[in-house]
Parts: sequence; C-alpha cells; structure tokens
Amino acid sequence: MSSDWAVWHAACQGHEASAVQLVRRLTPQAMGLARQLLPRWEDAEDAVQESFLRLWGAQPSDTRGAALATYFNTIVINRCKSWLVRRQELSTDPEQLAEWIDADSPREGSGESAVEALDAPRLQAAMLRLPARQRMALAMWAYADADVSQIARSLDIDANAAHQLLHRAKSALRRGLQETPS
Amino acid sequence: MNAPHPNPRDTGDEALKARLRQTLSQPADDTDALQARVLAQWHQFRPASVVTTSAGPVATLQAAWRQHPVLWTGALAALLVSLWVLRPAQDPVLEELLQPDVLTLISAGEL
Repeated sequence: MSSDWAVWHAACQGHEASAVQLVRRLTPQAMGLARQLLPRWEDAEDAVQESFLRLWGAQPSDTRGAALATYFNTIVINRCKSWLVRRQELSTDPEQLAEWIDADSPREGSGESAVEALDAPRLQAAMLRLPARQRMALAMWAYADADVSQIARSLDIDANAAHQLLHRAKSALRRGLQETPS
Repeated sequence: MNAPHPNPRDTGDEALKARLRQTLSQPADDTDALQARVLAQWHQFRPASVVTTSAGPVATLQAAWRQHPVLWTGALAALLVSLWVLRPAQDPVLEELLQPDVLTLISAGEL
C-alpha cells in the first residue's frame, strides 16, 4: 500500500491529522477538476464535498490498484457526471450525441503553442466552452487514466463513438485554448 | 536499424495530457472554506469506534480494560485472592458472643 493509501486508511480509522493532510492535499486539485466540468462554483464545491464522502466510505477493492489521487479524480468526475445527468446536459439521445460529436471538425496540428503556456483559468474557460460530453471524455482520459473502452462504458456509447468523441474533444480544446486570451 | 518513430499525434496527445495534469496541480482559488466543511463532515461521519470518551476515570478504566482484558482480569483476580489471604483473623470473644445461647435456641423452638 502506498503512503497515500496509508494516510487514507488512518483517516478512515478516525485519525484527525491524516484527514486534515488528505483534505489539504486533495481539495485544490479536486476543485480545479470540478471547475473544468461544472460551470458554477457552488456546484463544483458540492461535487467535491460529495466526493470526499465517497472517499471516506470507499472499499479497498474499489480502487483497483490506482494511485489515491487518480482514484479520487475518478470519484470527482463521477460526481460531476451525476450532476450533469441531473441537469440533462449528458443526454444519451443518439441524434444529439452525433450532433455533439460532429460539432467541431478537427483541424490537425493546431494549438500546441497554446497548450505550452497553459494556466488553470484559461483551461477552465476553454473546457467550459466544450459540450459536456467532450469535457467528460477529456477529463476521464487526462485525469482518471481512462482508455477509450472505459470512456465508452461510462458515457454509454460504443467504442468507435467514444474514440471520435475523445479525438474531437482534444482538437476542440487545443483550438479553444488558442482562442482563449491568456 | 532505425528505431520506430513515435506517432506525432500520440506524442502531441501525451504532451497535452501532461500539461492538463500539470495545470491541475497548480494552486487553485481559495478553498479554505470548502476544506473546513469537508473536515466538519469527516468529524460527523468518522467511525464511532474511535470516538471514545476519554473524560473521567470510568472512561479511562473502560478504555484500559478494552485494550488489555486478560491482563486486567488477572490483576483483579490476584487482588481478590490477596484480600482473602490477608483478611484479619476473627476475634474469639466476638465469635463466642455471636454463638446463639441455649435460651435463645429454646425460645426459637430448636431445642
């Protein structure tokens, strides 16, 4: 067990210093992630708070050998996904899905210089301009180490659609970053 | 023999992923209030077994007994045996006075 998981275990056993350590370390990162997926600050805070509840109640078998930070990112993404589903921003309607997937036709090779000089507010702004499904796919890929099949399962779409969705999301983000002022 | 060149798109994707992760680890906006709420929630939901009341001698004894039950049982048994062995010898005069006399036995109908 890594030291992170040892700290988590101690916190779950009621050790206050361990809980404080984890909360201080994980909250800023979780909030940054939630802010990329949810437009409103209060909703992002609620998602992070709910995520910690899940973290305290997690079972070791749930973690599948992931690093604690990655595992927690997965929880945060799932909480945000639930929020988006409740607000009907993650429709599984095939026509709407196709529309979102095709919403941005990629222009290869653009945006690398914008990615080089990336900061959190610019990234949040660029992410929030993407459709919810593209945001989810990107977050799962970048922060939860999810591959195409896992993204497909999570978003309830087939692997080919997930592959296209992710590809277009990356291109749209690169383009969005170029258009977002520093 | 040349080593295979990585696909430029894969390299670009990995760079993008690395930059996204790096951005996430940058200090975020003020999250102190949120952290306080999360910790308050943790206090509320932490396991009951560790929320032991350590106030007062009874709670201290209970906690000690829970930690080493065999040791404490042995110590208690040893104390009781010692008290039995070291009990004061009875006073013979008092013993005689406590014996029922013949008149009392007659009045009680036992003789």
